[in-house]
Amino acid sequence: MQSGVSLSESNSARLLVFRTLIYIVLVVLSLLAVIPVWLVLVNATRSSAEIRAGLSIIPSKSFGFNWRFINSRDTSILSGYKNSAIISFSSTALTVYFSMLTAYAIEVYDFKFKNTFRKIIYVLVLIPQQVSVMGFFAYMNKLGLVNSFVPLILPAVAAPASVFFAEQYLQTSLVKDLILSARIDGCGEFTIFHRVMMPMAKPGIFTLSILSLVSSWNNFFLPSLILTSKSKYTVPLVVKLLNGDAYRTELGAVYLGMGLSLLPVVVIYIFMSKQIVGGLTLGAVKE
Amino acid sequence: MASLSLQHVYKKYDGGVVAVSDFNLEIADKEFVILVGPSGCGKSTTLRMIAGLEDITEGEIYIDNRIVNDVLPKDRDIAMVFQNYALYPHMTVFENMAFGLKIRKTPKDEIKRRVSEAAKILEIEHLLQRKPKALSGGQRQRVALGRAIVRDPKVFLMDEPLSNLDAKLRVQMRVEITKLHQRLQTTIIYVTHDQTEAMTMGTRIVVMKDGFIQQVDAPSELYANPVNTFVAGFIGMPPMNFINALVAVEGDDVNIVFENFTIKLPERYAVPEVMEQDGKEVIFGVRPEAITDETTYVGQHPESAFSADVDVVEMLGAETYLYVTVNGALPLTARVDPTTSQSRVGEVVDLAIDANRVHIFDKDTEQSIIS
Repeated sequence: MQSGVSLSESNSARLLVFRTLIYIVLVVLSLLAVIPVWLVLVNATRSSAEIRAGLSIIPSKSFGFNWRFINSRDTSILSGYKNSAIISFSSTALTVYFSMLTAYAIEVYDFKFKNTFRKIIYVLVLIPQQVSVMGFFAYMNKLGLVNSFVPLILPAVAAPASVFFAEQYLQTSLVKDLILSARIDGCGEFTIFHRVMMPMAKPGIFTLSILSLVSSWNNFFLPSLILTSKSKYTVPLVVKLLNGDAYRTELGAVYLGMGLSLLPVVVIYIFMSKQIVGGLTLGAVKE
Repeated sequence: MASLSLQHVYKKYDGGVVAVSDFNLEIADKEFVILVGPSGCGKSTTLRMIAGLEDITEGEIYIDNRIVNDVLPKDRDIAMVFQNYALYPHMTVFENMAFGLKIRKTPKDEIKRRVSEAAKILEIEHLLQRKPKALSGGQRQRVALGRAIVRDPKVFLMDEPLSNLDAKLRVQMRVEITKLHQRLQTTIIYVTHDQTEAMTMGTRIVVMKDGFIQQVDAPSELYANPVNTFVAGFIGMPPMNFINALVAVEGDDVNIVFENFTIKLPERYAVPEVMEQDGKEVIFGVRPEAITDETTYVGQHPESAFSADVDVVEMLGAETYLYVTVNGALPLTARVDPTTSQSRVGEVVDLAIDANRVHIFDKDTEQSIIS
């Protein structure tokens, strides 16, 4: 009895130490994630001189000046928001729809060279955008589509990484008997996709939408090559403009621009984080 | 409601696997036909070929005298109930049941009427606004049945619809489906691996093995006169006892000899097919209920009596199963009356076979010689 008590005491002590260690690690990791964002927000309220003087985690009083400076530029952040929204929402809609459609076809139908097709998609995931961008640019130039949103939206119909994600999701969540049942109920193949599969795959679609939206919103590389007129600049390009002043750079305004570019993404995460996590777990385990 | 005809139907997969071989069956209007057999026997494949969910490699399938080989599932006028219910999780029970009608552009009032009617039959009216996740297994299965009923199809196809339910609910739903068949007077093809479901629900049973039909008959006929050892062993629980035995003919008498015991068979077994087996080894089939430990019966039938060691006694309430061994080598199962049985584990008991209810099978072909 005596030894039983001491054994349980030593166990609970060990558990306490283990839990404390876990919490310390989690707090450190959280700080690592939060501090850079916090510094951006703090610096958005500081002047260039204050920022050059060193780090601070306490907000200052220059937010108004920085805000006025941003709005005094010929390319406003609001126009950047509008352009980013058009590109991100359109490309996300296309990515999600066509990735799901492709993944559904791979998952549900048997056709010749299905596995080869699947492997090609997997290989495409591994090829960085930078490798093919010059060819893509030349092609768009030939089509007269440079400085238009089309090259930033239309390629979203073929997004290998999204197809890969969608296929992995459907592999674990798709109940094939439902498709058979819908066929017997009288549905055509597209009706099954739209009215049975898509509503059922909502968590996956949602997660894919968020990933696609964030990546498109934050994309700097391709818009910087394709968009030449400032009126069409997306948020990351507008922020970059703030940094490239000929005489001096208003660092506080740059940080404010960066903060503003983060804002929509943060808002989306705050409101939708539950569904994102739910979506990821739903895709991982069949319920 | 419709008749069905399957003529020389084959299903061969790439790589040479033959799932169904030369399947021939005529199903009359309003029949309740059960396809039964062990896993991999081709019963579900056959059902899916009838539904149009699997292509037919060879042969013809007719529904109401119309060949449907190349007709899409939606145009075959069939409804199917799946083992896992296959309810649309994002729709309510009402929407699930109405979906097929909606797709077929049935007027709204008609949809409402039919769904209400089916819900009433299945007693699920109070569940119509619920989503499938808020239903129990039995309720889900009722909804799946309701979805099929509202369509008023020519043929109902059911693919092991009760397999996911617990034992008690399965018995209850078995009765419900039988009642439903009587009420709707419709053609049902029902797939199961459970021989109890097959025996209790079907008007005719198709026993399958390795893609081949073994026997097609009414349940009672299948039980009384199985055509081979497979059917004899598959139908009936506990399964039939198979004993390697010798046929010994003495004058007009036919005797079966096994493990130093000789069982004299009644006159009706003295037919040429049996007589010509004289001196040959056969498979002697005895159902557990044809073996008794009732003292009076054993005393009155010394010509079919033998003794055995009792290994296990299973008392199930209404009946008792005795697991015995004859001569320490031949295991047998007997179904006896618990109110009269005196058998105890470890004892040697005297048993007798009801010789009017035995079966003899050919040792090589395993086909029935006489039942």
